[in-house]
Amino acid sequence: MMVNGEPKLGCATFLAEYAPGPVQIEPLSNFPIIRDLVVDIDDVMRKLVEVTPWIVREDDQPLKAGEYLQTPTELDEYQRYSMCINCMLCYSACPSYALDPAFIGPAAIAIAQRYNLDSRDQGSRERMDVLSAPAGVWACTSVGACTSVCPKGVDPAGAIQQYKLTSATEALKTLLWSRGTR
Amino acid sequence: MNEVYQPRRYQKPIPVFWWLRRRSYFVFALRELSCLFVAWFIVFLLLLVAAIGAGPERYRQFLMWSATPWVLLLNFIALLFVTLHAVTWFNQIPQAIVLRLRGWRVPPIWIVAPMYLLWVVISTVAAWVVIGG
Amino acid sequence: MAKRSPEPFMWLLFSAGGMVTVLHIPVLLLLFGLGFPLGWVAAPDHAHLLVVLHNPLTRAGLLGLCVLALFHWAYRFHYIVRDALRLKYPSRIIATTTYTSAVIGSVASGYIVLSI
Repeated sequence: MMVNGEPKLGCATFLAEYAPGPVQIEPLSNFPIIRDLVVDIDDVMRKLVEVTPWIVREDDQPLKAGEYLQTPTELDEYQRYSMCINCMLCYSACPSYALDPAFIGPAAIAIAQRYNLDSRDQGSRERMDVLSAPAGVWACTSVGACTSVCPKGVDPAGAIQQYKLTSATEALKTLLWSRGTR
Repeated sequence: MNEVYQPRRYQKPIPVFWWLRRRSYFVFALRELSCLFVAWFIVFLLLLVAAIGAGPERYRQFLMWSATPWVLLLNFIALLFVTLHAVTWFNQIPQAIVLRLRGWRVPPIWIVAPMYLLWVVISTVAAWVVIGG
Repeated sequence: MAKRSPEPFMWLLFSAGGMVTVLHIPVLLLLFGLGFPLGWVAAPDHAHLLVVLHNPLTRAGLLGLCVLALFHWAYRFHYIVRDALRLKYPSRIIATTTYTSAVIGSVASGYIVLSI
């Protein structure tokens, strides 16, 4: 919810920090309000699923082969983005989401990157359509409010910037390669 | 019960001056506005180049015009905005570029510092070329 | 495969423009906007600047700076109009207008820089 106009986790915000007060609490901004402090989060729930947030394999290893192994370095690549608790404070802070509710938003892109950067995943291509759409990463104007309010240090702004670079270089490669093969 | 009761939703309207509400939004708005001053500088630069091309007298007139109070003020403000653009740009670079050398994550400062150094070098060279070596 | 939208290319131009403007504009603005008019540094004489401008490297560099800076402006400005002025529905018109201005500006830059 909003505490004195800032998106905060109610459970992790102590009244002592705001003494002597007063403290103003409001429902999470940028979401339709149902009643009192309850907001409708269906839109974000839907978007989180749209980015295919699970390991996608083109070829499944047989069970006999055992687990997919991953080094600590490979884990480090995406671990930060796996810390998201879907609290949606980032959507609340994001002016782009406020102005354009079609934007898939910081948490969705961060979780997509969590899987894109996972060495066990082979699904980057699948996620590209959603992420590279105009309502995907390109609707972000790098305000950075999402990263500053995130209680888990996920840095969605960083994920988005990195993905813009990835998507742009992919687009460039596609353009140059297709010209070359003609 | 076949139908689920859907209460009416209230969507709070976004204030017109939403970007004045928080300091981070305000700095963001200033950063975005800096692009106007970048465009102004290009206009100024083209006027300068055209004046140089038109001969010494036109160049002298350009210098005198650039010394008039309004132009000085505009360029001073432009310099402030362009500096803001530079600082915020450099800060964003490590967000977009994650470098790893054999698994070791290069700290952001090692990406930002060379950029600032490049800035100083290019500025020095440009100043040297313009002023006349 | 995703539809080929121009967004990634516009962003690349914007980023290139951002980088180039950040590195070159502050010093030039400091000198020509404040330093020379205010007399902090003696203004270079016309003959010297003409020599500098005639150098093909300078011309290429100036042209590159102007074009990239204009496209940097166009990308950011179109978002400003969309977000601050909230004119979302005619957004295609705004995008077209800003990018067309950038193209016109680039052509003008080319004409001025190359015809000295």
